[in-house]
Amino acid sequence: MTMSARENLETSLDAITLWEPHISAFVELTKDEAERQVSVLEVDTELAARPLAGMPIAIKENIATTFGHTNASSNILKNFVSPFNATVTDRLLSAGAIVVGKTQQDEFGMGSSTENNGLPPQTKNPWDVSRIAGGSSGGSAAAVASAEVSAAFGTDTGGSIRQPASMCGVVGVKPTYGRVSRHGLLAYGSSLDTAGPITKTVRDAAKILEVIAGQDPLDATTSSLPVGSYVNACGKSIAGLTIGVPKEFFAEGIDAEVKQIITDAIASYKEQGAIIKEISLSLTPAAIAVYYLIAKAEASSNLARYDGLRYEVGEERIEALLDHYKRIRGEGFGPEVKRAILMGTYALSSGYVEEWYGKASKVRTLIRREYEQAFQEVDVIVGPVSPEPAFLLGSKSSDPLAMYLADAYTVPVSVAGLPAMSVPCGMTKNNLPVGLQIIASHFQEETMFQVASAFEDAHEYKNLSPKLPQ
Amino acid sequence: MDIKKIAELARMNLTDVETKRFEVEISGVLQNFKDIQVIDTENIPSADDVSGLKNVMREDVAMNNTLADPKELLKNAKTHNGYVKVSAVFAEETVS
Repeated sequence: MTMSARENLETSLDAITLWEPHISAFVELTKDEAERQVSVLEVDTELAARPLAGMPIAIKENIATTFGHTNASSNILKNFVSPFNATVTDRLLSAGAIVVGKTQQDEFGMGSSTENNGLPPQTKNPWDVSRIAGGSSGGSAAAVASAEVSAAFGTDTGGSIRQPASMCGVVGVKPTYGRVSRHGLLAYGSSLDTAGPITKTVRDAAKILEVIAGQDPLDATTSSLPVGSYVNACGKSIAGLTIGVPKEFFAEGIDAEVKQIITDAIASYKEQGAIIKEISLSLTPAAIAVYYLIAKAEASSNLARYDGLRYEVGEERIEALLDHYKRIRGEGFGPEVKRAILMGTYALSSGYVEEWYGKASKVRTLIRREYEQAFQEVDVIVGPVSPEPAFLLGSKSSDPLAMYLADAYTVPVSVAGLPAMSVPCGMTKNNLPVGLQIIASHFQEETMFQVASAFEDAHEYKNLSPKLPQ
Repeated sequence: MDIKKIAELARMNLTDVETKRFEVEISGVLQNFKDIQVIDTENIPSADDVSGLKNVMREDVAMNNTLADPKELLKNAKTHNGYVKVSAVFAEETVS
């Protein structure tokens, strides 16, 4: 018997009651909106027949919703209520999904641990609440891992969907840049930002991507290419496919246990008849610098709009306009965002722009070409998502460079604009999940889902769930 | 690196503690990023587009009902007669 929308919502709210005191995945619940959608689903048979009808989902704080707040976990947007929905929000609602709440993140998406949240609470990993859930979409990944919701929405600029999905043992999809509309996403790095689903299974992610992908007149960078049949791609044999394994993804710095789990996962593809080919992506180490220079430069420009006048109401004082801007921005942004704005402003400033931003943009072309060349020889590229499993809360937050280096395997893919996803592929001795990253060529999400489902179907990881802490 | 000057350009107040901290942190990060300077990019164009699209055009017709009406859009701002209310632009005017 299938569950009704109301039963689904009740199950979700019950799980939230049990788990939230331990993991704090949500910033706020949107029960009124959830109730509204359930009531519509009960009478509107057309909506009730759509692909996501009755599915309880969560949406990250930096994706615009007219219900609840859209504050990107920043003090500067503490009270901001969006006057419109993001395109992804609209498409999810029209497909029948029930939005139960908004999830925690690093402020404006800047971080890899959800410890840079500008507004409370601190999200924790459901598998071990002394550890991070990953980031920046940490709340979304934790909410799915604990089965508070069936799916959650995240954004991925340099790994913010894939890395928390990997650390929380769930599936996370970063589509090709231009596949999913960015309209209504609070911009971080506009040439890198993407939005995508976090789910328990590969097929759920495929189903959701089919709903949200496609051209949008409100985002001129969306592609007119037809949306693929991602669900149908799942379950197809991978025999004869060539899987590339970049040796640079196993270089120094990778945790020995993670390396072994990924190596075993690759061996399981060989057993299924795939051809495994070692490749070299020599610019992988340079991609961290390229990514951070471009992302921070774009952020410094994007975040210039937060001027204390249009999106937020600060304390009124008699002061000159310039002093007003400086005060509101100085008070409103958290440390990582300030660091980003300063670094980006420097990389774009007169006298330094060619040396930093200009150089990074040229090397970006080389990184893209290197991937294009690799995809002449292989169908997909696989490797780890993160060099290590979820680390302890507070263990890296004082060292920005250490935090940046942990993104070594996700940022090159973002720089190249490619689609990639994380699929649970093993557990460490400490019972922490490890994710396998599957990277495909531009707009080849079908191949990516085919390869992801082949792994999921051959293993039991989708049936593992964290235990409620006592 | 003159963090104070960069903060001026970014129109953002920093405390003395922040100024010191960011100076050390950002210099450290950039020092680590210096390796990209030696990569040969002679005759390599900048990656100015990502998805390969060029000159996305639409008919020159006003788009109606796509976002929200001005009232909705102004809801988050301090307003005066339907306009965003802004502090005095010149310091002198507030002083006199």
